[in-house]
Amino acid sequence: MGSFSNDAIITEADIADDVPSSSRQLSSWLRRTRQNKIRKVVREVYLRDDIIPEPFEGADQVLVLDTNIVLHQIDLIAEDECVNHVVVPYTVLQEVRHRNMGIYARLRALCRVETGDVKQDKETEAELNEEPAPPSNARRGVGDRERAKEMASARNARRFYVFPNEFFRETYVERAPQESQNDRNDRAIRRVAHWYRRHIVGPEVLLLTDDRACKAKAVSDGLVAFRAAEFVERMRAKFPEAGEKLALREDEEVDMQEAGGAATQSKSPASTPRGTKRKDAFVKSSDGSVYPAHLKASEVERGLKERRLFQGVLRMHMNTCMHGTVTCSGTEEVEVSGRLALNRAIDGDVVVVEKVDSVDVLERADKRLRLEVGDPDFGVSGKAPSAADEIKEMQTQASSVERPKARVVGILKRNWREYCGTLRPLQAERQQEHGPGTYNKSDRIFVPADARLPNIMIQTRHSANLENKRIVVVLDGWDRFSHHPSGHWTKILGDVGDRSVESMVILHEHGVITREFSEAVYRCLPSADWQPGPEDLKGREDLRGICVCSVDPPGCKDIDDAVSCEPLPNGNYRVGVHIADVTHFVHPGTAIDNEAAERCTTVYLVERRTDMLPGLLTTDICSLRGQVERLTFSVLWEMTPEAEIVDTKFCKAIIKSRAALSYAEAQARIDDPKDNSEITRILRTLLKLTRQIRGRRVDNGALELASQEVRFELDSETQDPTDVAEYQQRETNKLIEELMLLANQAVASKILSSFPMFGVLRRHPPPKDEQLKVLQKLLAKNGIHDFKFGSNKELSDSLQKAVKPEDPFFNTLIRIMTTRCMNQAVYFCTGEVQPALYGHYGLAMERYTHFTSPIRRYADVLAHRLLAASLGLIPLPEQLQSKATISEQCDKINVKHRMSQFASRASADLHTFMFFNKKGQQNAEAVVTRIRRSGMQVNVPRYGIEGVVAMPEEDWDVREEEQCILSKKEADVRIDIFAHIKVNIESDNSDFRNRTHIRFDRVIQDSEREQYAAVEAARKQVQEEMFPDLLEREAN
Amino acid sequence: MSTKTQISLLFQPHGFREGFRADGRRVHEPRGIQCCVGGGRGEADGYAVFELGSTKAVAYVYGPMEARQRSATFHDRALLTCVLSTAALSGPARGFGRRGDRQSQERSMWMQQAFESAILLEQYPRSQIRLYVQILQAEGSSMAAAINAALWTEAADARDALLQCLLTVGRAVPCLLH
Repeated sequence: MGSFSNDAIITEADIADDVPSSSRQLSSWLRRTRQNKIRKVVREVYLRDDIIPEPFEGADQVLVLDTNIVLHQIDLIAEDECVNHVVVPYTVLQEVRHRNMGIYARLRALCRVETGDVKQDKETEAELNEEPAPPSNARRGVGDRERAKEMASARNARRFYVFPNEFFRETYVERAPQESQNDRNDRAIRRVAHWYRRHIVGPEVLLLTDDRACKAKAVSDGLVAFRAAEFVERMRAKFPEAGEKLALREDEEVDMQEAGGAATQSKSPASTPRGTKRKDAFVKSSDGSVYPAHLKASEVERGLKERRLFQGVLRMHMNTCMHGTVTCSGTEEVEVSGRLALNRAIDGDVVVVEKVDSVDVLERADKRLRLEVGDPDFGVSGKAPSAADEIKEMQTQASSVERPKARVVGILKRNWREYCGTLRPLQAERQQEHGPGTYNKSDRIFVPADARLPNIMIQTRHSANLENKRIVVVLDGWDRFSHHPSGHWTKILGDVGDRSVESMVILHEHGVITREFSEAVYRCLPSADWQPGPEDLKGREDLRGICVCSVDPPGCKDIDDAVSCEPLPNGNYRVGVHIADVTHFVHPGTAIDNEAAERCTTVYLVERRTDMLPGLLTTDICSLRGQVERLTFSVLWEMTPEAEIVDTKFCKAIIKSRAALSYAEAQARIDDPKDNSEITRILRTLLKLTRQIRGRRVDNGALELASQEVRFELDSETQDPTDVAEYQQRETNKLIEELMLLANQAVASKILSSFPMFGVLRRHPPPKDEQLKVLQKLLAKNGIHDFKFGSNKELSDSLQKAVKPEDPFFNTLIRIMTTRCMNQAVYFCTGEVQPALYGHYGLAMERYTHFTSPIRRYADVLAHRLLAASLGLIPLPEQLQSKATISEQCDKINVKHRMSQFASRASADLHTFMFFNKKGQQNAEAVVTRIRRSGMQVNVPRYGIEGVVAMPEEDWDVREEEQCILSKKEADVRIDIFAHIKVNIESDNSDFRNRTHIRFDRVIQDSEREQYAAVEAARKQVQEEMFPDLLEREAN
Repeated sequence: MSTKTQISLLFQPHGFREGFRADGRRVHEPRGIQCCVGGGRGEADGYAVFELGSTKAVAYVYGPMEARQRSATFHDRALLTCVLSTAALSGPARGFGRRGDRQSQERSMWMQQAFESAILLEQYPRSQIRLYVQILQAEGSSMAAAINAALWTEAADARDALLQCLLTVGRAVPCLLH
């Protein structure tokens, strides 16, 4: 800043002098390319004279925004009522567009509402699929439409106008020889303000800028310029609530420091703790800083080159904001523990670390800091950290003894998002000051729902309204003078403890896209009363005549698969699997496809579903309901009565399902000897065939695990051990599952043979041996010595044999533990992975993909397109023509899929918490599954939950190597792995994170053990109570 | 700026009810056109420079003259050869579109076909006309600039004047893409 010469500044206010005479200007600048080359870019600009200022009638002031205001205070601009009559110079729009697309979209949306040609704007808006347009589709409720209208009109009340200053002769600014692009842009913005001041009659023109140099220049030229905070104060008289969304800027914080202790002391009593703390910090460190400064960019660059420093993404360990791991250069991992070492970096940031040999000094300083911050008003993740936290901390320390330690010396990229959480309640006496109706500013501590984040300091005048609410907070910055990062809240989700609000938090925290489908997406849909017409039938096999039925969980609305079976004259059977033909409606590159590609999967929480595709498709047009003609993509096999596959055929078809059955209904039909209808006969034949397929796979050695794998998955999700009664009921599940597996496998082979480079398959890498070895050791201790895991067959057999007659739950437990050793199955692009790695370990298949649920998984949509292309029905879409794009999409699906699983699990945890919250403390029997340095992992079969039990070191001698815990007080008390103990289970919401705590009660004798059957019955009842409206879904 | 980026820039909803393009023009406004025609420069018989905004093309014509390769001549008309090349540093993609690559060849062929129908080749049997066009600066619509430059060289009699322009119709607004 300030490199520009003085005489130019003098002319700045005087517009007539330096107006370019020619209408065509060439602006040129230098740009650094990705290959680090310098390139000169020359662009022509045609200057015009026909631009008229927006008059802003009735306004008493007009605001001209600077780029830094938009970038840092977008929440203020977008939502605060006090920002009105705004001129956004085109320069700002362009600068914002280069810096941050998200903010650009918001700014543009603000400006767009004001423009005259609403119709065209809406169209472009929808076309670009950005801001969801006001809904007008008949599928959505009238209420929604009203609300959207209201919102639009509310936004309309405030007026934003983009001023095309770059194309206007009188406001065009040429870059001076020594001037930086930034300075030039600042000058252009000031020029706009000057020009407006000259040409507008009535309102006062204010320039809003957070740049000190820019402001000084503007003021010296006679402009009225304000910083965001100053402006908000100025508007306070009219808008008492203004400034709620104001982001605290770092330089402001420094300013406050500069202002000295006097300013902090003269503040309202509410903010004194912050002030005094600051003063403490003054005393401790010479320049008043809490954290060490980050290195300069040049130093970082040099350090990285010299390999003194290392760069990587910081990942916090579970449930702590104090310990994290940085993976440097792909493989090497270093440990960063403690606030000082972390030095203001938070989860997800790209950081630069320096290795440290001795952590003692850091740790001591850290302890001091922790004590200092231990003040309840500061609330580091708890003045009395919960036992589970401690354990997790200990665990992470224990497990990472060998890892080198490091500390953060620089942050390359902040990876901040919006965070959900709650304000920490005030103490009683302070609550008085913040009663309803007062708009005093106060500093509050925000506790994020994600425990990996530090608490955030926010300033608000709405204290009372935000109390006990789930809110969303945006981080603004973290300077080295404050203990906590500062932020501001953006929206209120609802009350703490409300189930739908908590579910929203879960979705938000897992990055699930919950926005309404946009107008453009709805426009891609066929009409609600769609019927297959002659157009749709082209190239389709007509299977309406054959008997098709679907079997799904009860109450299932999105039926994406149906089955059929007909005898052939030669004695064979034609078995068909019919999958909803989603790609007939979702074409590549359309808005609906882009949206689905973004969402990747339908997310199931316990009580709600977030769809990948709009409901019209999922529950109606693509749902293979009974007695309705529907389009399908079918796999047809010719099978001998011995279930040998003679021929496989893929085709698009049209079917008319005879019945949509539930598993129980299907089972009842099969079991009813009197029922001899066509559907029942088909089901019986299919059952016979699938049993044979399954049986043959057992003989081949692979199958047993295949079926187990599915049970594993079920186990990990619902912890459903199988028993005889359930098995009977499961027979139809297995029938469907087997057919789906067969279809997926057939499609995978077909895709791979047609597109060896561009296929989308699913692979499941074999588990890591080390973890299984640990399990093997544990089992050996318990008298099971022949646990082998060389191949999936061996593992499956070993699991079958791993039973303890006296403990029926034992086998289930072992299976759960084995599941935990398994790797994640992932989607991949066949061109990017070696063929040897294509296999699916769990299902024991060489090739596998997902084809059978295109309604709720995007990978299946891709598989449908690939299969259609391999049959020559459609050309291979562009999205599937390059390995890079396929891989990118696969990675996205994998991430989203994992996040959706986490979200489901979090939802189950939430319901567990709510269950215990209602019930109060419960006493139950638990089984120890693992022993760690300061606690043990237990499984509580009665409630189907797992958790960590803290074993304080004063009372217990925990021996991790021997996997046992000895009491220090009573000589004969000893807890081994797989021991049964009594625990107390209790809900804990002291930190607003909805946790369920498990505490050790006592060791129990074998005779005291609960009966397996009783536990099972109790568990079922509990599950029903815990998840009263659980949405059922298939797990194939 | 390629045509594709121009179109996308054009329809970026900047929220201007005026509807400016990225360079400040409105939808119906063409770029500045400059043309410089010479009678012959060095050995060439015709010469023209055509500028369309900052896109710049230069065309040289040699002929009609005696064919160098007798075997390649026609007894009833002249042989027309067109070569379109792009200067190495003319656009953002370096070394792209130089003589001999596929795109240049295709464009050369295209131009040749266009001019074969326009020039009265029958007036010059057993002779050869060579047309060289080079794009010096490629900032969009380079093909239009090339053909227009070639048109202005005026070395041979033609039955039609060739002009090229790019048009698109987006959202019912016809738009000149020069």
